[in-house]
Amino acid sequence: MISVMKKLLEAFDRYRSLVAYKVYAELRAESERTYVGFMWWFVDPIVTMFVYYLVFTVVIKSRSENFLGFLFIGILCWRWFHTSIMHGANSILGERGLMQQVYLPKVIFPIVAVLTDTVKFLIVLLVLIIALPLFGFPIGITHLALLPVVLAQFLLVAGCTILAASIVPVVPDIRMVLQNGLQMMFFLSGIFYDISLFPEKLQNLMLLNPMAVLIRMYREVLLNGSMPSFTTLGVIISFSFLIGMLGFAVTRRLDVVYPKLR
Amino acid sequence: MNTAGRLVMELTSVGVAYPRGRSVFPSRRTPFWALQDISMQVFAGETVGIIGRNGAGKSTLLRLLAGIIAPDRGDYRNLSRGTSLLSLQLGFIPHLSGRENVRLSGLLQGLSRKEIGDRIESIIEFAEIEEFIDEPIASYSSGMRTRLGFSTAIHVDPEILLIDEVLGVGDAAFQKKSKAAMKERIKSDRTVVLVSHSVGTIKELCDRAVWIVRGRVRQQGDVTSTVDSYLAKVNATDAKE
Repeated sequence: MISVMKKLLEAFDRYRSLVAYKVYAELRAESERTYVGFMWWFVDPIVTMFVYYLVFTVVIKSRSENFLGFLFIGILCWRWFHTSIMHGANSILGERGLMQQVYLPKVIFPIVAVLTDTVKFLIVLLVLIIALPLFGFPIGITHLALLPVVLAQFLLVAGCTILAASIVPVVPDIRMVLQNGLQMMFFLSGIFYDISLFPEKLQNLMLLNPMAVLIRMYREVLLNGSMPSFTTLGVIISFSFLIGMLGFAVTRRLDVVYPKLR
Repeated sequence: MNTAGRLVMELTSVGVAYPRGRSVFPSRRTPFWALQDISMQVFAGETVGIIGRNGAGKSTLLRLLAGIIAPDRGDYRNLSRGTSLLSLQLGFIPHLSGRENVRLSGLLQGLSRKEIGDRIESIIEFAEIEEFIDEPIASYSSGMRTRLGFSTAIHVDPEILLIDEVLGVGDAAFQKKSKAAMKERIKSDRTVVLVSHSVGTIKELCDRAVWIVRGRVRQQGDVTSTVDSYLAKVNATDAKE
């Protein structure tokens, strides 16, 4: 375990500038592929938010207070989790051309995927926080509590992405499992409804899903100005760490096998 | 040019298998052995040529020597400080500028940021694209991209250089220049493993040759006799057909 960690740090130090360059290149390429570029990072979740808003307030006629903000936070966090994992699942085989020309520790590729999606998330989150006072939510010192929540989600996203990236090249079927699993998880994470409306027993079961817990925490901090539970965050962080280590160990083991796969 | 250098690479009965097909039924997953039985040594400072027909396993062998893949049986030892495959335009991204692509490609090929900084001016000068270096390479002609790719690769300078076919690239003038730069690298006391279809190239540049047939070493040693046996065999096969 400790030796695995040491190796990870060594690899990261040696390849730090390479990772930074790849992230920059990917963000830059993504924003230059379209006319309005990075504006899509904002437009995309906002459009999704309005779609859900219409469905749930006009069609189903269920609405709660601050529903727009409530929805937007859920969608934004979910999007980070979902795109990064699917992005990561393709990250190793997607670089086949590179892998066959030069030896690189393959964990680099999912790390680049995670960091790229994290930058996009953080930019939108920052703008959201700045815009909050316009909607009647003053920014206060309690918003600092967002930092550990973001850190916990970052580790969760990174852990899941690295693990997915490490296995999908050898067992491509996992990609289908992931797609379906993520869809199910989307409906169970309380993105467009409030989990606390359910009976307590069911609630406890649903809160075994770390994304449901995190999304609720973001809302508590941003919309109610309350503090997240640090014990719960600690549990999520440890769990994510283990998953990430497992994924890293798999990439170490298969490092010279991936270039042979199609 | 010497053959008495220290041992830098040693392969002992090496085999490399590629998985073939995916299925839950193991009988449909028989691997393909691209290399069956390769034993050879490379010494510091020499240039070794690998010859063989298409599909003999030459590219797989270079990938193995570069540490990109590992042997599935047998043993491979690499005692050098760095071995890399000469790769043109490695990791180039169209939206980035020429300068950014040189940095990215250099990092990918194992240079540190400082090493890149030291070499970047000479890379740009060799590629002859000074005035366009800060433009995105998507706007380059393919000739310009080729020159930049070659120039970056040739400046990487690993202890052991692996070359798959490419000697000269670009238009007539640049081809002459790039071939000369390449030959200069090969003829210096650098260790080189060179794969080529051109028997003339092997004869001109190599100290030793290894002839591979279907993943096995058929003959190795002196360039002239190995190349002659290879040619005799190729001609005999052609005559039969």
